[in-house]
Amino acid sequence: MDVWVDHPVEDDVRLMLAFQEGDEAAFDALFGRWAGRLLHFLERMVRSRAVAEELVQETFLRVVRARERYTPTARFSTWLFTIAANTARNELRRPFRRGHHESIDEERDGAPLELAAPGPATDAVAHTRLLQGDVEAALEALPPRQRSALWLCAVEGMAYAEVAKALETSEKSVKALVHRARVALAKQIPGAQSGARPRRVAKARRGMAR
Amino acid sequence: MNKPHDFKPEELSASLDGALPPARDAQLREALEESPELALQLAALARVDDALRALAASELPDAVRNGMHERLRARIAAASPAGAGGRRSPSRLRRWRPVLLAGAAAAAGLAAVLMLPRLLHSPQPLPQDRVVQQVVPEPSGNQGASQAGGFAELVDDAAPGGLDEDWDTIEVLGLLEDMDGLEAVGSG
Repeated sequence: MDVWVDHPVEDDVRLMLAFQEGDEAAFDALFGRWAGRLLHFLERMVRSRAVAEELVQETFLRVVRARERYTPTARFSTWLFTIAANTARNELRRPFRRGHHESIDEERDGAPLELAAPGPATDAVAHTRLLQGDVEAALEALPPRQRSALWLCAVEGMAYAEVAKALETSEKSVKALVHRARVALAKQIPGAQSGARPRRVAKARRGMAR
Repeated sequence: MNKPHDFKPEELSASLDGALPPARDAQLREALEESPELALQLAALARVDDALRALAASELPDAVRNGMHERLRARIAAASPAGAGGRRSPSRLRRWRPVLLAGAAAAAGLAAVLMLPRLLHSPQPLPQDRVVQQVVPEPSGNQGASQAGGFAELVDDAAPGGLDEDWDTIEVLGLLEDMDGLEAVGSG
């Protein structure tokens, strides 16, 4: 199953409401739709595939427990990623957590970030050949809050308000977190500094998702 | 006309997230056409997003997905016998409630059937003096005196509203005493 399939929002809500009424197949469908995306998100948060898989299960276990309280007032994905972010946050707060150890409040670079001056244009192909490991390494170097905010905005196409809800912070904070994360990654990913046409993919994706 | 330096870096990022106000977004579009430097900056940020989406575009193997699903199912089953779906299963007591209610009703009916004749023909509460008279044997020996004490205790305990079995016991014992007395008279 392709993790990048954008499902109609109402389908998720319909499935969740069906699950509330006891339809186990609806729950399985929701798991099939969202497990992969949750895994990608959680893996970047906790930096461990094995732990991320556990947290995906934990997230859906919480969905099961909280199904009676679910109300379709927001997008299902917002609700789901809020739960996932909480599980990741709890995992990161564990003093002897599995895998890596880091503080979720870690913000190592407090200085204002500025975009690097555009350097000489590199081969455009270089970007497409950029190893995923390089991006992963650059992403891992970010503080967790920046990582999660950027991922939810750029990859999941969530609005600042939705990310703020998921991360239990303000929209203003999310805006700053996302921007700082982008600038930091742009500095560390060589291909990101090559000149190219700006694309409004996130905006387009959000339009599809809504 | 807006110059590139009019735009804060945060605004470039916000434009990628679709969070720039429409009027400001229109100004940015105009500025991008006139400023290659600004366009490069925005492109650099956009490529970060592309790189992240490329990470997430990798398909999740079915084995991984199914493995997670199976483990999740096991955890759900361990947490609740009802499984993921369905409302919580009724508790054991709730499931057996109809049977318990039927049993209780049957027991109540049986008790009513058994008790009805007694209620209709219930002996008159024995006056205290009569009972004592019945149960207290003739003061002919120590053994009888000791028994009288025991019977007297029964009578005292059989307060109004007490168990009918106690009254029955007293009556039977009284009859036995009477028979003993008759035998004694006959033999004497």
